[in-house]
Amino acid sequence: MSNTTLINQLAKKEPTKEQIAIIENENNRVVIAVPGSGKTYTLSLIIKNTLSDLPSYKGVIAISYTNKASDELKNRSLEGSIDHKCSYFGTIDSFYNNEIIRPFLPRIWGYISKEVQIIDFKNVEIIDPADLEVLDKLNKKICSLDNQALNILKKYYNKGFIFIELLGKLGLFVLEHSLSLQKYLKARYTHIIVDEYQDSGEEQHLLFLSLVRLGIIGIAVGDIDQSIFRWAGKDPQYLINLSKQKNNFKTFTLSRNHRCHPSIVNYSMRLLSPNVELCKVEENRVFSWNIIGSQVEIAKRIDELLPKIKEKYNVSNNSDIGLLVRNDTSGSIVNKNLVTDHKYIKSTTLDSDSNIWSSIFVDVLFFIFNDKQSIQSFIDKWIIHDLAQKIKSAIIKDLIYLRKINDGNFLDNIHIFKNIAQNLYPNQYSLKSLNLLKSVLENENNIYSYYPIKNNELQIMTLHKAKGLEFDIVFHLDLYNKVIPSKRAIDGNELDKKEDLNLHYVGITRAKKCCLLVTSTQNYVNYQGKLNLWNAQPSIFLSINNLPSLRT
Amino acid sequence: MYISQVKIKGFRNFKYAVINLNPKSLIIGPNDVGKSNLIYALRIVLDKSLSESSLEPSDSDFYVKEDTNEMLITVKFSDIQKDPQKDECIFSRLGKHISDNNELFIRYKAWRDRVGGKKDYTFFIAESEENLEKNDPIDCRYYTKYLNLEYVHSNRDLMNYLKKEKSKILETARSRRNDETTKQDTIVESNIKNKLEEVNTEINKLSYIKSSTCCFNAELKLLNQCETESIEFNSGSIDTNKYINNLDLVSKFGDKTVNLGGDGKANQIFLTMWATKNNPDIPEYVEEIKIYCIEEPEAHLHPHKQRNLAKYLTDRFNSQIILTTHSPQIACEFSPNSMVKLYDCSKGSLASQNGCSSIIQETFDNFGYRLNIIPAEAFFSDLIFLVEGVSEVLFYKALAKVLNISLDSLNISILSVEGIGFQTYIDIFSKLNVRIVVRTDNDIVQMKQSKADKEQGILPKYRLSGFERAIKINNVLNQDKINNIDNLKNIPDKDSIPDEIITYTSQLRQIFEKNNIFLSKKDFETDLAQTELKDELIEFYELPEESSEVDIVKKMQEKKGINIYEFLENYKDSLVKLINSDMAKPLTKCQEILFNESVLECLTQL
Repeated sequence: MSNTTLINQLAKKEPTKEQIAIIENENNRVVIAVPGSGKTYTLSLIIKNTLSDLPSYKGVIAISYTNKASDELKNRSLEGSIDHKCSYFGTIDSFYNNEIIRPFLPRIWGYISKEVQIIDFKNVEIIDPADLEVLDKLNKKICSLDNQALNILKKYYNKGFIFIELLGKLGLFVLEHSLSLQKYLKARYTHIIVDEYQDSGEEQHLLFLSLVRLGIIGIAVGDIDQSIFRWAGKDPQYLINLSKQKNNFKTFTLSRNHRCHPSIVNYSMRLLSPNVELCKVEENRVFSWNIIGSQVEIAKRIDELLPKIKEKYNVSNNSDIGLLVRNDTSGSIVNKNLVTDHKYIKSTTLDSDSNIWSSIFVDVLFFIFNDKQSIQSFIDKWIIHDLAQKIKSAIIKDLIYLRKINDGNFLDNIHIFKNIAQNLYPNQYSLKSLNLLKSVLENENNIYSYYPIKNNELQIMTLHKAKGLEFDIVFHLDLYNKVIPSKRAIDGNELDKKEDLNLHYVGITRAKKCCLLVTSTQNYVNYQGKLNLWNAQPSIFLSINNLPSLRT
Repeated sequence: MYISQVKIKGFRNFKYAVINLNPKSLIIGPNDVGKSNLIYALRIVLDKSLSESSLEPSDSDFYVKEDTNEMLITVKFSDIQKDPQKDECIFSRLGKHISDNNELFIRYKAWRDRVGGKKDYTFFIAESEENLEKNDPIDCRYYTKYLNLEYVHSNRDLMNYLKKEKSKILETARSRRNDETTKQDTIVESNIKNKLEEVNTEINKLSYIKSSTCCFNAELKLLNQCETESIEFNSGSIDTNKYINNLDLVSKFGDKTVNLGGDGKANQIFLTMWATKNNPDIPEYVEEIKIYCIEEPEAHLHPHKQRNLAKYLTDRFNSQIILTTHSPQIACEFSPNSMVKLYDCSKGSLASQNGCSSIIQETFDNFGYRLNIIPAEAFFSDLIFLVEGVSEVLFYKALAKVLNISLDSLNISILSVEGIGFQTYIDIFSKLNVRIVVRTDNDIVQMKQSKADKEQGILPKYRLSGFERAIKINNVLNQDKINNIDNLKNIPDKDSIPDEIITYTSQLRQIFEKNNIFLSKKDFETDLAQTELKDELIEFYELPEESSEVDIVKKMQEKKGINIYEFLENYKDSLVKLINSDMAKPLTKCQEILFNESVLECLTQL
């Protein structure tokens, strides 16, 4: 699926006028980019251009929302063997961790002899409940660290622990107090590019502004209508705030959706605004289904009609088809009942852990099962600084060994995983990562999630996971009241409603050729751990703004 | 950015030495004191041309005079970001290890479990010295890619270097052309190619070229039974590029060409070529910080040229330069606070005042213009014997020869303080850990009288200014100060000194002698006349046989300087008579001091 994206983008070759304006500007920029507008392409061109003029000791900071997105941006930017020089590609948390906290916090709080580990508030066995209460409260507020909090954090730091929830606030504290950190960032980085700015948290916003104040050119890219992480403390207000700073930031738009068929574009725009001007459309590609039954029957119907749909729109690979759900309830039901070859894309606990050893294990797992991935690409990603040759060779040997295992007995070889991580980052030993790895290796389904997607596998995933992706055909499920929009949104305020609307918007705009909006007369709902079958009502999002007129 | 300090512990000559450096530093010291070892220590940390295997310590690298199983070389960098454009690359690459006040530390640590046992080493990098080993060790010197030391050795192989560098220099120049010049050059190059082909054709027309290969080819035919092969002379490659790359460097004076002769000129050319290569016009971005280290740049150069060289090196390079030298000419060109004087002692080799120091600069500044007259030779000495004037210098040098005291092998300089004064020398050289022995005259000087007293016809009083001077010198050189100077004043009659003063002065003499300070009985000439050389003097000055000392002295003082030289030349064999005289005492003391030190050293080893 991402391959088709690549081909499409490459086929485009020349940037559009809108894109050129953004690339050629040399100052701070805010870019509002609608889905399918070539955002990653534009960013990669900006990065390519910038890097070509820089000396080898400078680079750009490119922050993406997930590690996967970061890898994608990095690969696109460095296409054609571009030297990344001293650039940093990663997530905001990894930036805080690697560039700010690890090297400079010891200057302020002293060096400790233990390895510093990143843990979260859920590690109750380590945290004193009284401390947890203070820190938790702090986490929910928008403010910097006060002395009480600093003392608590310092106490745990001395024991070797840093909390991931407070990584941002701690990072800002270090930035404020370390002159050498400021000098370092200013000397090394010329630009800071942040993607998905509509899902920025307060700390990221403050970091972004601090770096811009240091003289680093800031480029923030986002789409307010794709803000879907408010429940996690993210807020599109920061992006809005930037575009309001007219004397500091110039706002640009990427307004053309190149990805979706015009009828899908129209539908998505009308969803957000009743009065928007629509483009001319010859054929309609948005369809709605109301299936009699529940998610089970939906799966059956998809099995039945899929071959025809594929033929009609000339789609040969099932992997170009996405089945999007709101949550795991529908996801697992469909997963169980769909007969067509499919893969349920779910994160494992290892995926969501932020320790660097966990990231290493994730990449090793992906590497083992993907014969097409070269060892060199693994090395290029992970070996940033000079490593002695014998260590490099040891890592390569271990990787090859793991790949050769064909009896599926990975548990017995967990020490090999450990060796690789030990060789790459010896001082970030994480018992937690090892335990998570063990739990992944114990479960066949978990292991399977690291297999590359086969062409014949239809992809099932949540709408949140689909962010940034695209499919030829999208089956958008869970369009029931109380699911999308959720009960919380219905009872809640405008912002909550908008967020669910955005989620639906994101779902629709994943479709290139055809979008099927699926609801049913009944649905299974997970209530206190048990599946209950209830009567369902079609989502109100299907009837607002005269949308039925834009679909079949 | 520059190296401001090196701390060496347990490495070769150094037990534990702290050496401060300046952006331009000069390292001097006797042979074998460890100048090269100091440079080598820096190279271990910073020279990227040193292979990994050279970083492995060998048994001889550990400080040998004690049980040392660990060595540390810690380099401190300061003023990073002083030159923001140049230092930016360091801030970007090593910023995580630079302190808030712009300092950086790198340490080499090597150890063994016992002599001849297993050895290993590692490196550390941090923003402060205390935190060096709290960080994880780094397993290779990755920083040398952009922070390194460029080293030029005194045994330069000029011709080889020239060969290698020639083509590189030509290539650099080629790459810097713009399109237009390149076009023009291409035209010229094709002209050259045509001309070379012509030359080749013409050469082959020379009768003796053809005939010389004729017989040879006949034999070859017989050997090979083959018609087609033949050998001939050819003017060489027609490839224009190859031709150009093989051009020789020659010296041109006007239109006359002279071969690159003489090591001195070759040396200069070497250094300028090296400088050109290493000091390109500053491009927009500087991607590497280099520190330059040159050993004995004065090789084969005449003194004036040496001065030029020193000036060139310090002015031309705006990066840090560290030189080692044996040349007083070069030493003169450096400001005193940039000199690092290494000396040897029981605690291994050390640097005076820990190297570059403002204390020395202040001391120099206090004496202003007189500084330039001090012979730079003195900086290189282990001991200076200060005397009043030229006569003493000549005398003691001759005496030393006769007494078999080798001034040169002991690094002893005999210096006349005439025109400068003892104080200047003593202030400066005591700070440079140069031992000092003094011989001054026992002057008795008239004290100043008030106008009133003069008018009243009161006779002037005298003071023992020689002793006063000696006391002053003593108090600078020694811990035990002599404070009682009042009784050296107000002496009514200079020819008849009261007894208690004489007793006091004898006591003083004993203290002085213990502290390496000697006073003449009266002055040089008088003292000499009172020795057993009296007869020789009478003979030399052609004085009547029974002349008194006073007469001799008078004659000597009439003809200072020159005559003493002649006298010493003609009567050098007689000098041996003075071996136990008071006059010889300071000289034998010089030898004793240096001898005792080396004995002490041997004893501490046992």
